[in-house]
Amino acid sequence: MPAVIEASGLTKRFGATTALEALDLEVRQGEVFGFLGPNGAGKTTTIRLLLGLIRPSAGSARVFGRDAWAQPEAIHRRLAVVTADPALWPQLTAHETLDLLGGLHGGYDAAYRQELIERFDLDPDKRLRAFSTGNRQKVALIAAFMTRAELLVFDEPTSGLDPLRKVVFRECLAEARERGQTVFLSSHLLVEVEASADRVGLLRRGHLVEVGTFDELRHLSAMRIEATFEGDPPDLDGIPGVEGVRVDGRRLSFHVHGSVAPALEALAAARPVRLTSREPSLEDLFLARYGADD
Amino acid sequence: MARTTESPAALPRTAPIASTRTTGSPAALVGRLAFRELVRGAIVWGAVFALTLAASVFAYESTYGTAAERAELLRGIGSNSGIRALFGPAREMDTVAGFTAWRTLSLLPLVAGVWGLLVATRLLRGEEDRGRWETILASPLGRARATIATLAAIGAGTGVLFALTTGAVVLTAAVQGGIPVGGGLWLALALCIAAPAFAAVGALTAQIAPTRRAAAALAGAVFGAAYLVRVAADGSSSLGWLRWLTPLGWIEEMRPLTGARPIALLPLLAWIAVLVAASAWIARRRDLGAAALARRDDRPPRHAGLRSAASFSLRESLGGLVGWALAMALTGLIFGFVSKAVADLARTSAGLREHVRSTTSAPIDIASARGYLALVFIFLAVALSLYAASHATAAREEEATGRLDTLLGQPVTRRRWLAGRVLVAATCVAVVALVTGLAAWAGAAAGGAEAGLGDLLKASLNALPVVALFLGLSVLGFAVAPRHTGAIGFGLVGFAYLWEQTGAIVRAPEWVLSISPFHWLALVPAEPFDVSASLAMLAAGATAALVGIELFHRRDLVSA
Repeated sequence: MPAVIEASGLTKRFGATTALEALDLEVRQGEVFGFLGPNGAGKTTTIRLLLGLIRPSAGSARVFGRDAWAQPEAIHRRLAVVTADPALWPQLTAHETLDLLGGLHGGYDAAYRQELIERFDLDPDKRLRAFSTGNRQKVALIAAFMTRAELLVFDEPTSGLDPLRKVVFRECLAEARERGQTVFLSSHLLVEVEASADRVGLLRRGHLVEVGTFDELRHLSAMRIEATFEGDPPDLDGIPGVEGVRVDGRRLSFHVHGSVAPALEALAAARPVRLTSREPSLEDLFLARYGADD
Repeated sequence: MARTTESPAALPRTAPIASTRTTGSPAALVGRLAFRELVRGAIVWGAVFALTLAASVFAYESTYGTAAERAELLRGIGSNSGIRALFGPAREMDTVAGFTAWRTLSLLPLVAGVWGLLVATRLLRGEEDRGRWETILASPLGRARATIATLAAIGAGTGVLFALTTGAVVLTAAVQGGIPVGGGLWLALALCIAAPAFAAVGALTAQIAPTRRAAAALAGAVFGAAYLVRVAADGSSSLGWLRWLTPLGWIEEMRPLTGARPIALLPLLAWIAVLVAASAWIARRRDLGAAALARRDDRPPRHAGLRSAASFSLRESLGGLVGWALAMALTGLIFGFVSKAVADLARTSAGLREHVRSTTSAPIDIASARGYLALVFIFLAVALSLYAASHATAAREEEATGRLDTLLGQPVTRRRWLAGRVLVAATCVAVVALVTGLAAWAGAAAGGAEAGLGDLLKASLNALPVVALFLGLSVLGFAVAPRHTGAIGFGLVGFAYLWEQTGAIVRAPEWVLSISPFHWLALVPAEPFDVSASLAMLAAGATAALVGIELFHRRDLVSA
């Protein structure tokens, strides 16, 4: 599969602050790539670099094989973008906004646009100034999906949407993937990415710390186990792989890396009355990688 | 205000408060925030007021040195009803005090009034439009008190304006004499009090109009009506009682330095108190974001101007275009109308001719309507240059709000976007210039002046190269220092104008004067069009714009 997005050594400094450092990244055609990181990690900076809105301090970003800074126009004909708090024109109605954005893009699927307006339940004749953030986001999402662009770039696209519209967004995303569109989905909401992404990249303080499929990344994290006992919980000191032990009365919780067998044996000896374990979620993945300091 | 950190005894405390930093009351914080937003403008205008005042005093002393010249000035200006209507009644023109009062009162209260209404609508409805008011109201501060705290900040800003103006009065009085300190203070008060008077109007329109723009337009309409009533009152002796109906009339009735009337301050203070109280009253009762004059938020789509970035720029500029065209047409009409009267006056008054010679750097004879109109068109070129600079600030606004990110996320290049905006700006400026010329001609014709349509259209076209120069420089400023686009664009125009004005008064040498581009303007229609100067300014403007577009193409987008 050819790469749609290629970043190599991509770096952006604002004065003394380094927002993004030596990012190497490849997004292949037809995949949904999740771009995860806490607020301030550099996700939006990456997207602005990919769009050619700001210039790399070092390295380069290429989209569709073209340099993002040198040839943004040719790239933008083939992509559509939605940001967390889309800046739109308060005096225009939703209908006019879609006309403008569709017109600037150079065309769109009119039937699909109508369908999207109904699915997202948007009032097209209302001025944007009367809209909430969520409703403005709907306008931007419709504007992006209706172009059927080869590459969709989303930066926290559903932060303002209600749960029903989030479902609609995920459906549209699935349809886009079926159609072969490539998606770059940036978020700090793990569920959002977990539900849709083929691969993820983890960004932390301007560094890309991990890239892979969920299966590939899961081994890095710990399984979380919680147990309740009749008497005092057992002492887990010295048991391999166990970390972050917390005792709260008769309840015990901890992480395990690698095999859970030694820990389970210790637990069983102390006669637990209740035991729960969770597959690592992305939350745990982040915790395991970053610790609790972000 | 005392801070309450103790919970009522009956309720369990959720968590102990480790330390409490005392930060002053929320009202004081909101007031300080608003003050920070406006103090720069107050200082700039204060400097303009101070310079204008000082210039008037020195111009009088140097021009009307003898008693005979002063008596002639008194006779000439005092008896001309057209001048009186436009600039207010002239009293005691044979003293430096009377002349200074007349000259400054004719213009500065208007500036103060417009400044006040713009600041009030920006800090009240503008902040509400942007959603920041919501953040402020989340503090333990009621809607009415937040409004009053903001207005108090405008009062403090007026204090800055007043202090600088007073400083100029006291200093010039000390140097030149002829102006008593007490009377000077009263003059400074008369010059500045229009700011709170019309800020109060803006406060009220901010409560009842749905957007900042609408609130400013409505307050501007009230201001315009007050001005027209004042013109009618001063223009006809039988309508003099109209002076007691509007703030601008009351300010005139304060009669600083010419038999002060403290009683005229009372209606002004009452006006401010009533409007402020009404604004606070409405603010307390209405929903946030609501407005009595709200337009419907849904309407059928209007498709024009949505096809390309350039056509969208034009669509976005139309509101401003109509407003500027109306304002400039009115100005052109008025000046055209009085041109004959002024020229007639100048023909019989050597003093007035000399006065004009001393306050302009150009050798112009205003004893003809054409000469006078040529001077007026310098002033109109300044206004048009400000309009051109406002297009650069509109481009910056698009960038600061992040909407430019949205546009450039589309297949739109930066060069094409900015070039489109510059073309739209140039077109808008040219249209307004032509409308101004037409209106000036209509006014001149109605007033019986000998100035043809061709003369005045030539005069308005003659203004365009210098306007193009300032447009180019503003675009360059936007490219190089985006966060200071407004300060650079408007600042250069203001600086060039003041340079030309003060330079003329202090009789600066030619090379000093020629630093100001306004000095390069040929005095059309009194003089022929200066082809080489015009071409030079056009070329410089175009170069600045092109360099600006290229630099913008190479820089990062910068948010607010």
